[in-house]
Amino acid sequence: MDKKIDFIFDQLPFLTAIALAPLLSGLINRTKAFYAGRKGQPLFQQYYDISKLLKKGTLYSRTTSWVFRVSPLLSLSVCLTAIMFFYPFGGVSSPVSFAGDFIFVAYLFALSRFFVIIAAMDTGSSFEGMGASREAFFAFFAEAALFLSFIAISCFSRVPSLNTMFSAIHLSVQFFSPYMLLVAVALFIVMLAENCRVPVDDPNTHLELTMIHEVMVLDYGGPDFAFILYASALKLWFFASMIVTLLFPVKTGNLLIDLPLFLSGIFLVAFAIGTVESIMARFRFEKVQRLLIFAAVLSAMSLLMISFGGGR
Amino acid sequence: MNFFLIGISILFAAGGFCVLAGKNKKLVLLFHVLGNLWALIFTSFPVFDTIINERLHTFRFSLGIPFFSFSILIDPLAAFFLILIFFISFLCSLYAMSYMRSAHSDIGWFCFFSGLLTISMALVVASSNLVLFLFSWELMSLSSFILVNFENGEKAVRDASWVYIAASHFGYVFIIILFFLMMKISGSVEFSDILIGKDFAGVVVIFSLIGFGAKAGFVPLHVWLPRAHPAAPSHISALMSGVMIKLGIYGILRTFSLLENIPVWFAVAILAIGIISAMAGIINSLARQDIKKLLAYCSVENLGIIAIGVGLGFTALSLGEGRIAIFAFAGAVLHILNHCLSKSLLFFSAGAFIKSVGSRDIDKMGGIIKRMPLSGLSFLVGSASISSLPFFNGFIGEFLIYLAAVFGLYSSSMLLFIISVLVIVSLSLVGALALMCFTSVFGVVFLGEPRSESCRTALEAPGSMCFVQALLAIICVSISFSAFLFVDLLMPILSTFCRSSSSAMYNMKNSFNEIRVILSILSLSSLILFVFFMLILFLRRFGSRKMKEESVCTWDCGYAKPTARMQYTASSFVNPMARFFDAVLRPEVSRPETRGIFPNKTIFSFEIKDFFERYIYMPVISRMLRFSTALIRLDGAGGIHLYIFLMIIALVALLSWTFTYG
Repeated sequence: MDKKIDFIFDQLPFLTAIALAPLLSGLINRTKAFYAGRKGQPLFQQYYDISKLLKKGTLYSRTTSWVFRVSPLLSLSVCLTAIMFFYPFGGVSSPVSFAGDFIFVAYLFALSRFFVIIAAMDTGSSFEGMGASREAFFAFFAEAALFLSFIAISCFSRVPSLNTMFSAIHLSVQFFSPYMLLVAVALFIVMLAENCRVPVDDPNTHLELTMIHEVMVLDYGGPDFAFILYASALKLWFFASMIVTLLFPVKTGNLLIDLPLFLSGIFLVAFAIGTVESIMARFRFEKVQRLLIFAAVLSAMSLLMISFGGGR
Repeated sequence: MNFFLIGISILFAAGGFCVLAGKNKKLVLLFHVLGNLWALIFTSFPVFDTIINERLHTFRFSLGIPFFSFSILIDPLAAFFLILIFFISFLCSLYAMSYMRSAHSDIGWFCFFSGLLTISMALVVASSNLVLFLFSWELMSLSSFILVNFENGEKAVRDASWVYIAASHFGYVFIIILFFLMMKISGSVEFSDILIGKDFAGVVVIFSLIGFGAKAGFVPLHVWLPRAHPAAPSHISALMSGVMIKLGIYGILRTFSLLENIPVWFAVAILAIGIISAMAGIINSLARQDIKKLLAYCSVENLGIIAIGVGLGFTALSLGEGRIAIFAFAGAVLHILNHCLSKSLLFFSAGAFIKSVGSRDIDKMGGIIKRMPLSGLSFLVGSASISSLPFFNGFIGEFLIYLAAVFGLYSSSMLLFIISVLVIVSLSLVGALALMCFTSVFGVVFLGEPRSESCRTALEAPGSMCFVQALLAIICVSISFSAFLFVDLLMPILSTFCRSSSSAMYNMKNSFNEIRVILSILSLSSLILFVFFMLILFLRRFGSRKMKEESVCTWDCGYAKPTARMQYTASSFVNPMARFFDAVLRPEVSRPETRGIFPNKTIFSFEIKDFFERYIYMPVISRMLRFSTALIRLDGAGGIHLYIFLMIIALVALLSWTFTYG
């Protein structure tokens, strides 16, 4: 009996992620409503949305092929797999982990992106093609920033696997160390880009011409769209938890302390995203690549400081 | 050993039969397949014996010609390449069964030279005599030249063949000089007796990089690739891109194995060439509309990635970081294998849809997956694999190179640290570009609405073409799960070309254990992904049994009657990226102004030429032409006397040089 409970406790980060990920969108929307002086959606709006969509039937365009149907299932499974590599709190080790697994995880997201893009092309809609093109274009810059951030962290903690390299960043080692602060900012920008938030993409826009990610999934409905929503919530959770681990590296090893601390961190990140969305407008597309290059430069600077400035 | 010769002889004899069978196409193709099959079977005995039991197979037959002897040595490195050569050749011959059926010209000789290409590639890899190597290398270039030139009714094909043969011979000159140099230094003509000391290492490295690099398609010697591939029949492109260009890498590895130690800066030079090739290859690949040109540039990219692995390995080796070197080398060798499989697969599928649509222009296709489901699936597997996505084989080799670079981050050597960062960043950028390139190709060619009538009526490829594609696609996916099972077999291959610095190699076994463990967890992770996917698929199917599913038209902003031409094309898809790389691609845009109320009909054109071709080759070649025309004009003045005079000057100069230094 005890072992069973232990096992559940060990998998708590995974369970928290799959249970609470849709909450983030509610929090972001509440924050935006707060700034706009509105009451806002219920906190659990995305849960309602997903459960409503799951009960619906689906419409498929006659142009589409099986690629279109496979893609949402694949992106959800990619996000679930990625979360298994990173257990950000409680001092537990992730169930799968190997040297260089951050490369694997980054490429998993690329795999999902590959299928989302070809699924968008599958509809034959020029709007979706446009969104797909932008997604692939910005991914080029986001990839560089993401990899530079990862290797900066890996260089800092001198271990090559995702979970261990993040858990090596302790409160006792570095509190608000400049290195990790830079990386956290870079990762925050990458998160905004990868999860299609303002200022890169506007999830709430109503004009197909200006969307990136949202336009690529225009033709989905019903359970497929529920999977897509859930997958993007999980992806946001994954990135947010990386940032929390960098900025609030409190790791007591005791779940009862770590879990609430971690959750408040995650909620703060959601609050930050909401704030950014409230005080900024979406960038022109030319400006987005500059923003992402800026993120890459930030993490490259942090890497240089770590290696030449005595961090190593 | 004799099995190897028997295999080759059978293939040669089958070629002879093909010629004799002449006009009877079925018989010719049957002989061709049988020859390749028996060659594959017979050669696999010595080859697998070498790889598994680490036993060397040698054969020596002296003909009494000075310097020359028919001596053959199959060591693990050679055996690895022999597997690729005979396996892909066999698949190509099988593919040709359906593909060449409708060829208009006489295919007897074609099959003969196709067999000869296989034989010469096998001899290049297996020969241990320098002269035999040179002989087979030239035979390989010539037979592939004839194959590229097969459809020589078109001017483009003839031009491409000329560029190809010029490029091969440009490299060949350097190889000849290199080999004579090695002969001179070591006084031996056998690879096994040659060991080159520190003094000559630099020269040898430079010459081998130019000579073999021309075959491997390293930038800036890659210009023949995007010309030769569209000209050749698809299965020949598969053979050339999948196997032949890798013999350039083989040549470099073989030459490097003769060096006592590799100066670190030369290793870094290979790495730099690799990074430049990978970036330039994939950027150029993005902007092409001709599917085979695109695939050719993508080969440049992948050979660049292999060079990155090799260069990183040799750099780490000369800095004494054995573990990093082994990871990088293992990655490079795996990438050779994986690229060989996935690139042949891509050429096979491309050949299938080119044949049934009758065009190589990506932007004129669309929606073919509904007409050609199997070719579409195979092309998808090939694209995902070439974009090195997990779950497909292309990821594994690149991952090991990545991992070598990640370990390089912790190295105490500053040089290795900087190189590692460069490798990781450039690999990730190349990966993102490859993803854009292949989503565009697959999306535009296979998905959406057909953009031309011939796409609407395209037919799935006939039997043997489908079989070959399906087989390769299955191999591509299964390698990604089973790599940890056979990764130990790479150990003898690595020790063949790393013998020069055995001190750093003592921990080979440990490193390989580590690689095996990492790859097995990697396979497990892919399996987890697969299980999640199946679970969700099951839930989706099970959960929506009773739900309605309707077919409608695409939601196109509420616009219900779009035409197929309104779809995003490959050119528009990659446009943002192409504009970003404007400085490198330098598109030539002609946009005539339209004036007046009723403007005349004008044509907008947009063309991208190869940067190196335009800014390096063309100026040099045109200057050479001007120089030689000037000489010919002199010819009018002096006639034959002038030639004789020039010859005498050359002779005197050479003689005096020989007497002074010789």
